[in-house]
Amino acid sequence: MSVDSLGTVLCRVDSMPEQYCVCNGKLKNKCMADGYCNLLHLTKKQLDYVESDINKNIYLNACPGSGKTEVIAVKYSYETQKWMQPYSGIAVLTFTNSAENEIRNRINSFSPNGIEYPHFVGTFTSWLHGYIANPFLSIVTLHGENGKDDTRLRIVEDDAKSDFLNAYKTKYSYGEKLNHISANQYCWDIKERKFVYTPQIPRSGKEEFDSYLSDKNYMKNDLRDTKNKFWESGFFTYEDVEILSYLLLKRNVEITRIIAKRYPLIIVDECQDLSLPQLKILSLLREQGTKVHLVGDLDQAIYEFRKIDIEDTKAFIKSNELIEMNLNENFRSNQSIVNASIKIVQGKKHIVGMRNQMTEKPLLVFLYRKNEEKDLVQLYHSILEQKGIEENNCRIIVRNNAGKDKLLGRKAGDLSDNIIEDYAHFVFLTDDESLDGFQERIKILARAIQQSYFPKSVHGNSNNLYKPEEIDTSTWINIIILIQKTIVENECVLDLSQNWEIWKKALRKCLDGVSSSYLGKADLKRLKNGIKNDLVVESFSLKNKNKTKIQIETIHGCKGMSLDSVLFVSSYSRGDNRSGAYWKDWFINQESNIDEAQRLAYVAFSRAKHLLALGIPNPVSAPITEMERKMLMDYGFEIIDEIKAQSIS
Amino acid sequence: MYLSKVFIENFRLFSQPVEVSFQKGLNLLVGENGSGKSAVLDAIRALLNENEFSRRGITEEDFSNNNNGTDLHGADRLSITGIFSDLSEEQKIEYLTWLDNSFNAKLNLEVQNRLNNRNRYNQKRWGGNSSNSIFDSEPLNDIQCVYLPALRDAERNLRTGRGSRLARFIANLSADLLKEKRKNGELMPLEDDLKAFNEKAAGKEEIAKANKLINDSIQNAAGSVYGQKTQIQFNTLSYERIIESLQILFSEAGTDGFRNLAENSLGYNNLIYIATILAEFEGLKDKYTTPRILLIEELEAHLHPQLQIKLLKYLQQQTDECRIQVIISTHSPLIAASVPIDKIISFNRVDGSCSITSLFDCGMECSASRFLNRWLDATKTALLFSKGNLFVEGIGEAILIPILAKRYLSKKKAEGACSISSLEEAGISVINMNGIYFHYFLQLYNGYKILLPERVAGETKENYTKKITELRKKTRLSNGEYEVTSRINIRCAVLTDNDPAKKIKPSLDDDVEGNNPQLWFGKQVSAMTDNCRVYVNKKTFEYDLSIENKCNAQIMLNILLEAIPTDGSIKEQLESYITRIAKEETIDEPEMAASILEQIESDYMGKGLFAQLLAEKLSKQEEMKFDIPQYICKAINFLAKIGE
Repeated sequence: MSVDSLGTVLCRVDSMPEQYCVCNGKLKNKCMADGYCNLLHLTKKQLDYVESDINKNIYLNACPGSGKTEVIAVKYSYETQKWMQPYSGIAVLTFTNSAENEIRNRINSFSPNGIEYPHFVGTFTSWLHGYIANPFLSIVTLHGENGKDDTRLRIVEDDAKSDFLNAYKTKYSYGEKLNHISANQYCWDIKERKFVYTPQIPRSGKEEFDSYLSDKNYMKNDLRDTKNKFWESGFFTYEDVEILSYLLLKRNVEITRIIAKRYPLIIVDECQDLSLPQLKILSLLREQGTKVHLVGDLDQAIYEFRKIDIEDTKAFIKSNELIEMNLNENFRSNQSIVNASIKIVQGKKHIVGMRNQMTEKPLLVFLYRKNEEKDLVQLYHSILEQKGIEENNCRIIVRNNAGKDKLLGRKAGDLSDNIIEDYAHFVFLTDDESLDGFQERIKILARAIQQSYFPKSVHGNSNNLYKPEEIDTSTWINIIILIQKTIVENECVLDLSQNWEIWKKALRKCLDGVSSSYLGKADLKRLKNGIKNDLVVESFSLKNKNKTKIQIETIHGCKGMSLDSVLFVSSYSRGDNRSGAYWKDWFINQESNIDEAQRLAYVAFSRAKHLLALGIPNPVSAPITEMERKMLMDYGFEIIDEIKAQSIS
Repeated sequence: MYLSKVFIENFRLFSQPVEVSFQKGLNLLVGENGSGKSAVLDAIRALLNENEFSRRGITEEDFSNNNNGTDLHGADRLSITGIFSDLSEEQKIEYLTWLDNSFNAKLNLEVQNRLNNRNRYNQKRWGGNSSNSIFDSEPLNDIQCVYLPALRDAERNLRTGRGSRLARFIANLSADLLKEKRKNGELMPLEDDLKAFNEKAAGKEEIAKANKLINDSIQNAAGSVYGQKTQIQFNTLSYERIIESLQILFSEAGTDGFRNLAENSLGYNNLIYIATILAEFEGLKDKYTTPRILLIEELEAHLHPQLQIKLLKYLQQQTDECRIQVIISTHSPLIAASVPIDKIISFNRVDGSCSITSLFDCGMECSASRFLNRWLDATKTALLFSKGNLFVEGIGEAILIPILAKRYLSKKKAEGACSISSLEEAGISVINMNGIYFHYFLQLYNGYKILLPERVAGETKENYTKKITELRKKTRLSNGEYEVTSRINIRCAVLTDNDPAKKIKPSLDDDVEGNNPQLWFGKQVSAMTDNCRVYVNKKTFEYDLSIENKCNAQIMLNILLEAIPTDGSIKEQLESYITRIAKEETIDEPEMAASILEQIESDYMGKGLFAQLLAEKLSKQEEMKFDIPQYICKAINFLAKIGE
């Protein structure tokens, strides 16, 4: 097989002309716009996968920047245009909506008709919920037993704390902090064969839960009974759906068989993000004939906190005898950045950096002192300017939201569940003009409205803006718009430089002025203890509020991105757990075992095309050692001290 | 895969939820006006998004009102659910997200009674049990549903133009070729031909000349910069437009030349229309494995009786050959009589609500349905359109009971005991069983079926038969001996003869044992159901009429006397009875009744003629006293719910 056979299918030309500009194929407009022939542009290895056998199970090991999204899109288009089966199709599964959109856009550029029935492109969750869990889960959970009832799944997030969940609380207490927990807060871990506490808050929740539960049978029964009651009412967490779907398919081969026939080929993008239940579901489908193509990079697995273990994926690849193929040409980064990234995950693999080096020093380390974050950003900004790199396609990357808040000069949000604070948080975010900021503040406002006006209602999750079940969607949107409008037109409420006590009164007055037949009186509950005399604004922002044009992203948020340059900032101190926020965790040299911290750094490093800069703390009390300087230089970094002075000059 | 069940709630007159069962192939919806037949057809159309219906959309009137009329707004939401059974392996895959726990495909439609800002009612359609499953539109579109309304304008539907039936048919037949040609950027053969013809036409002298003149004028008027070019030819048409301009012409058998459909008769145009649709199904039968449903409202519309039957038989044949499901509503007893009884779905309006019964769900025994198929003819299928049935033994009752009932009901109405004055007014039919066993009929109405046990090993045939017979004849069946079945929810009464031995002549007060082999059944239905009752006389209908009262006997004797052809002892005896009645002498009334019966059954008279003569008398002389036997009054009371 060759490019020509691909051309016949995708471009409908019999042979590829020498020059793309005289080509009259279906993709000519795209090729003209791109300035190259899209098919000849594919490398040998990319072509190998596109033309691989869809009757085989394949693991496509794709290094960062290897163009895997493009390859998947071409593969999908190539296969679907030859496709003959009327009711069976290919499922391309991703893990985030943004990854889904990216693949959809690419596919649309290769397939004239875009994504069509019987194929599916979307997130694993939407596919699982839409084709398996919603239709059939009631067989194992018996929710909506009376055949006429709607057995749709009602998804509750594990951090939801609403009044209706009180009906699904455990009989026993699981610790001083947790107390009686509700059924959405824990799930069954099929690997460890025990219940685990899932929310991130409180931080010690998991440990406390574990130690209380230990081996007590009456507690296990309590947890099981509570969970059953929850399920019978049609409520599920995302984890529940995965585990139950696995059980469903395991126990009902007939259903598994039909689904396997409906989707004879499943391509999973970013396969390192597959959870164990998801892998088990894929295994069951494979046993019934589905072929599985996993595409991804195990070194980029960064969801340990969601119990995602790359060992499970490795075991799946092995036990299902997936044929390994490789994409090891990195078109994103230059060789220096590639080398530094590989070194961080102790990579033995060979990755070729295909990008020419455009700047003399592509690897930089900025050493910053306490409270010099602002100067750090300033220096980075001027270096980008110097090198002529557009800021738009650069990011400052931090480990998590706490790091983001720190750089933005916000106080770390402690994800409180206080209604008044939610309203204030909404107001605080109103001057954030980014899409993220808009989405976040609407979600926060929606939650506040639900909690204050419909506290007793069963409601949806953040995806449907916490909509109370008794209200229809358009009415709910109208309510949110009405309250949003009322708040942003109210000078007193917009003024966050008052203390909490006065601000609460202003909010009360403002909300009382809202008139709608759907709304009663808002129940705002009480302020958190001890804050009534604090200024509202200080709960959200620090005094030296930063304003930077360069967007700040968490590592998880920048997954899959391709950026001109990256400034990856370490936390100032290590803190109490090795979350990967602190730079020394990135560079731990242990041959045998790669930690998640290293993989996190690997993801951050490998985003950069031309320039990778690290922001590393250099406290006066414990300055960076010579050894450490040497180590950084071994990676290829040039170290820049005294950033404050540099940034001024 | 076929539509096996539909659940409807709050749609039109169905303010109470109803369930309708369908079978593969032919289904005939039979019932009185306003009993919900059209509503069921429309519910199926709404559910399947049938073309015409989806253009019209759900309207305000589609939401049911509750019966007391206080609810002007209509129900808050209506819902329609359809179940498709018997899915093939392939269909299970296609209808994956529609599957319910028994691997049937389930399709739901819910419409909120609130207009959105596009002035449409909010609709939600989903497959299976969960409204959050993925719902692809392709599987729904694969279910072909065609609807023929009662007032068919076949000519309009076959006319050329956008979305014409014919164009759709041809487009479907050529779909694969068209797709292939379009994919490769090639023209369809028809397009090629038309293009060639166009070029040729443009070159014809007069056309070319006209074209040149026009072009010259444009050049002169607008100059070469602003001037346009023209070309005279037939419009360049795409394949889709070409087939849309095709039309059907007709020619009558034995004549040459084709004529426009506008010149054809309504009936034949209808036939052509139906034929087009059937051809569409037939032509595509190998292409689609998906269900195809043809809904016909009042098949009899515009067709003469022989054509109705012919068409029906053809439809029935098509259902088998092309695997289509045909659902027909009808008011025609002729059509009802032409299909096997288990294909009939009976619609009845009972106490203001609708009752729908699929006769195959009534637990009819095989022998009973075979019998009924033979027996039901156009006159007898009236029972399917009535609000109550009175089954009678023979022609005598069939003629006289309506008249006797009218006398009885008029009296009752005058007393204020009821609001009707005849059986017709109440929609109650009198059905002549012609001496056939009545328990066959009652199986449609009684709502239970006796569970006959299998013969156990070692049991002699004789013992087994005895056991079964005893079970069948039990006055009251115990739990486990019967199962509850569907039933047509209207009342049925049977008037039957006691038939004691010929020599037994019971008086009005005697209770004698009869030989009617089905008397046990009367007792059983009384115990088992509220819907059916059997009323038995002393001996036979005519005997009971005459023994009821001496006046009755006198009237009957007079009829016989007028008709008796010979003078002799019989005539003398009849005359002597009349004289003795007039003189109010004591008479052996049973003996007299027996004589009257004997004369009625004699060669010169016969029950039919006698009944007719008596009926004439009773109708002409409304004031004349004639008493009605108790067992008849009771039957009428039961049917007309007098005294309840």
